[in-house]
Amino acid sequence: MTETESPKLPRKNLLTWLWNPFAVIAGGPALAAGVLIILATGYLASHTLTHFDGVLDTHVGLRAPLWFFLAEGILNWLCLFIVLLFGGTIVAKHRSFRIIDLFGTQALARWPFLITALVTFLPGFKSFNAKLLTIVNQGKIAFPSAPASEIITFIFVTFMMIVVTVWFVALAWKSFRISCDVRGWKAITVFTIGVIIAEVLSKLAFIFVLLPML
Amino acid sequence: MIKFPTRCPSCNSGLVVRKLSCDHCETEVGGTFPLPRLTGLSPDDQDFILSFVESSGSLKEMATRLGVSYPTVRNRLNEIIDTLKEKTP
Repeated sequence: MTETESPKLPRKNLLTWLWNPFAVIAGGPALAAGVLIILATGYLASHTLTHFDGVLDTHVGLRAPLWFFLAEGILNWLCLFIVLLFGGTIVAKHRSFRIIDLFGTQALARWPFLITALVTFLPGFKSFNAKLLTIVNQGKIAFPSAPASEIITFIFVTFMMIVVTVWFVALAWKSFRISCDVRGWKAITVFTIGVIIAEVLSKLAFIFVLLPML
Repeated sequence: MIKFPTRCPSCNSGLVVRKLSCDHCETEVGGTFPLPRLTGLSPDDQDFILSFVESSGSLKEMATRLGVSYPTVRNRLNEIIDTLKEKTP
């Protein structure tokens, strides 16, 4: 059999894996990897009390059992998946897309949050964050006095949280674009509105479903 | 590789075959033969279709063979379907 390869098809390299992974992985394998990563992220986050309390949110501080951290990740994933599935059926030109592709790639799109969960382990972040929370809980607006190393770590972790959120949005868009074969301004608009709706949905679910279970 | 012309370089209309010849006995056949629809595709797209047929029309098998995801292959096929539809009068 002649091996016919098209130059238009992506190649497996580091850049593809980081920026456009769904060109090479989707469906069942993406789902398995994505679920494992979501659970690993939740497990790690439970040690540093890092909450992914919304599709795009990361906050630190609230004490909760392990299941709560695991549930947050799954809830966020499901919220965005359901909204984008609905959006995809509206905007997709070809109705032949597989739900498993969107389901799996949306799970895997959350992998950068694993980096957030890891960087919160950096020494100094937890103690600086605790000082900051104490001030905030007292209703004050002030910068806590802390060693320079703690401040630098805090700034770095905050910066990484922003980078990871942007990265996640980019991956979620690529997952939507590839899984539903959508493109153009119509697709971008549907995706943007979808992310906003999913963010609101996940926040509501967090406040009215997860928090009361604590 | 010489690119197979399918459009008129002057007015961009679709070309037709006027003459066919046998390299073996040099017999020539004249007429007006329309080009097959697939010749309207780019060589890359034609290679893709060939690969699709070689994979017995299985996108899953093709994705495995090319080392890409299933939706990547399916989207590429969708693009080709769209191109063919555009080129069909």
